[in-house]
Amino acid sequence: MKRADASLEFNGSSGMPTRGALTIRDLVKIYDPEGVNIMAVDHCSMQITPGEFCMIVGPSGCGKTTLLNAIAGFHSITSGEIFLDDKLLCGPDKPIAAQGADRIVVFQNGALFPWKTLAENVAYGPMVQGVLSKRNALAKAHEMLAEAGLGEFGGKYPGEVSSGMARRAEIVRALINRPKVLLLDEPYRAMDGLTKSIMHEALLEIYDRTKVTIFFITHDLEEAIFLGDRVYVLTTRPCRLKKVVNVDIPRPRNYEVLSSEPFRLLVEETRDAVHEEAIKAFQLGERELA
Amino acid sequence: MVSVSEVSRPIGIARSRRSFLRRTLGRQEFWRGCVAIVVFLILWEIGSRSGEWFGYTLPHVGLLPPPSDVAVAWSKVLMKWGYWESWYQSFKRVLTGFIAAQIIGIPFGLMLAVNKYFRDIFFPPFEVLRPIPPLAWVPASLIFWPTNEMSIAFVTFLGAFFTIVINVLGGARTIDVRYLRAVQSMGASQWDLGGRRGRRDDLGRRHAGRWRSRLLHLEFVYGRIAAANRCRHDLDRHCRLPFKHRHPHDRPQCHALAQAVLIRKTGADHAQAAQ
Repeated sequence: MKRADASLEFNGSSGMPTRGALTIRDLVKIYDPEGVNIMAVDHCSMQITPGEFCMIVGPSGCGKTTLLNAIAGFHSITSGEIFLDDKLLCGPDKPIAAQGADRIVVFQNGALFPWKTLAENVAYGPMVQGVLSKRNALAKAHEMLAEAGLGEFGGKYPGEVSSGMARRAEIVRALINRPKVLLLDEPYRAMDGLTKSIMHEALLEIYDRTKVTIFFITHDLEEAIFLGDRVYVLTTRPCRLKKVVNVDIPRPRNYEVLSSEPFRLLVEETRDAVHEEAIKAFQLGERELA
Repeated sequence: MVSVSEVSRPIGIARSRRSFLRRTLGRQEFWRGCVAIVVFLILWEIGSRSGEWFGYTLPHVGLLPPPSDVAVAWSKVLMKWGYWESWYQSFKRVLTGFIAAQIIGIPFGLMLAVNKYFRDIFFPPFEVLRPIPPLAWVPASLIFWPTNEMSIAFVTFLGAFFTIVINVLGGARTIDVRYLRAVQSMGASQWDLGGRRGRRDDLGRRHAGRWRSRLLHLEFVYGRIAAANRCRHDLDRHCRLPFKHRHPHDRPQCHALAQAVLIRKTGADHAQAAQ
């Protein structure tokens, strides 16, 4: 039960997660509709199943983060609909989704509060929502940090631990709120290869345990195939869904899969799709500069 | 069996304290600072005694009493009760003004930072009043306040108030948007968090949650400012201590502000004494 607290509700018979289904339908986002009219997202649709580890890849500036911001409720949408478990997050009558703890974002450069210890950071969500008292929230935070291998570091400040530990703590801070969807915006971008590989395994361990739906934006195709159930390749701006790559590598995964033939083929398949869009993005950039 | 970490922890703390003192004494900048003060006093002494020693009185500096005479005079008044009474009275005035400025200035600065309407209404008059030097308020303060003490405390208050408000406003407005989004993502809005949380049925509990959330938000904003100050402080000191181990007023702005107020106050006292 302890672990289930931080995870999802499971269907008793099948053991499959029953919440966290994300549906994006004909989403359009135009920045500055009264001025320059930059179309960032153009009728983009996606269907993410409950408990899916969904990887979003695409050229720089294609609108990946715009999608994430729309889901998180940081940005409004121009038209289209986003549903979370059949509940309308945003649509024609509600251009911006209400922010809430059911969709927690893990940011690119980390957003742990530097004036709080790791445990206080983790306990912040349940406390601010009034779900747990400070004492209970801290106890829960220490428990969850210990599960993530950070038991000894609960009393440390973010500046006193490594970037990998801070990132793990941030994911724990998200999970303590029992989100339906975890939104990760290139969380391992600034990390070196070794730390990244450790973080991948840590994230996979958390995912295998919680089966929370993960919406993960990345530029790293190997990362996308290694972690994800499905890889959604987006076109260059304006963002549309170009291709969905189903990753049928069985879980739990470890680093041995990186040298396997199916993995290599999937990376190639994804790379072909992304490369084509990257060239288009480059040409578009040149045209805009000219 | 006692673990190594348990045994080494107190030793480590003692070592770090000792090494801090050793580090301070071993730092070049510390000794450079000491030499600078000594050289300043020597130059002051020479300048003040220029007429006596060289037969030519230097302008301005030559009119000042030399530091050695100041030290002798100070040692004489040190034993007098009136001297310490003056200290007490001065501190009382300064602290009254400074604490009042904090009590009013910090919430006011936070309100300016978090509420657009509040800022639109109160920031323009604040900016009109801010450039007026505190000493220019003296005649007005004598009219406003019934006692001389209150007038002095008011002038001190003004000296601190505008600086505090600008510092709080600047600190709160430079909060990284990631932190605000993280907070909002975890279920808190920018100001009124409780109103959106419809989970609570009981109205009283909902209000309690709202106020707790507001307090948490203030703590968030103030904590961010404190963290920013801590970073600056760390750069100055080349060492890092967790914020909880610091004295709450151990911040450069507070020191600078207190010193500025003290200097201003001392100047005003001297001006009054001269009159």
